[in-house]
Amino acid sequence: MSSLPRRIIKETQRLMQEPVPGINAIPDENNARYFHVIVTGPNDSPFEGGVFKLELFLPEDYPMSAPKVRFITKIYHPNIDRLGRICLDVLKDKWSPALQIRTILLSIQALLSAPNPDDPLANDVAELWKVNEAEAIRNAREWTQKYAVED
Amino acid sequence: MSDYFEELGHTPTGPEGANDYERHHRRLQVLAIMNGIDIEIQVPEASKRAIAALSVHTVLESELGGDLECAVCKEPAQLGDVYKILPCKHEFHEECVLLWLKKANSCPLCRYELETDDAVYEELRHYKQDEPNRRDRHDHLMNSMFG
Repeated sequence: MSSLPRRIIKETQRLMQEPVPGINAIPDENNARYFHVIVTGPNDSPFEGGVFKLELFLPEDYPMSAPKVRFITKIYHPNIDRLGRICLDVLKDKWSPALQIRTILLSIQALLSAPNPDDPLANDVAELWKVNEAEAIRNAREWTQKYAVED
Repeated sequence: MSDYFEELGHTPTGPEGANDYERHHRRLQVLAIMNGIDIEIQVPEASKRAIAALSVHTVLESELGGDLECAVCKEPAQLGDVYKILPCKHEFHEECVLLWLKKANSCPLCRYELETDDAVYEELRHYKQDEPNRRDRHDHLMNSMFG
């Protein structure tokens, strides 16, 4: 593998020195392009109190391609599917090399505060979110307690 | 859709055969977006003509220490660095922005879209550029009828 671009080194240092509130990202000790990420559920969201594990990988041509990000912890959310894949425009066609790991993780945190059932990835979840929001939120709280809260 | 054709053992027809299918499919995507359907479309690279037309800015000593920074590599400007200026006035290191414009036709900071060589995509780009005028024409029409 080629040497690590300066930009990745700088981003990593800044993530460690000035972490974003509620977000923790550390590179894997064997692979500096693979990050272990923890996002805490935002207050006043059904994910409050949860600690969600994610993985983030910087592809070879980063920042010309978006980072690959996936939830590892199970989550009940209309824009996140069973495999933890995230439906977020900045991870796809709205990616720009001016964005960075920090901004992407902030967008994911914002997605937890504001689920968007009109642009679904998990269809059954999105459907319920539209027809019976109260029940969907209850489910999301239950899943948070069941899968994202450490005993 | 292509799976469906495969299942039927059918090759889409047209003057260029199967290749033409791809073009029609993209055209359909473009029309869908123009009709307000929110779908993702493969964004083409900027045209060679648009890239060649970009002006160049070589960083002078007097510009150092300011807030000029390349938003792609996040490095502050250094004496003699060559920046390319996009039509939206945002500027980036030549080598940084050229790498990007070979993947997508937009400004990394404001998503201003440069010309492409993709005739089908150009239709959508012009449509998007015309958005403010279209709104004006609509308002004008409404005002003339109900104003």
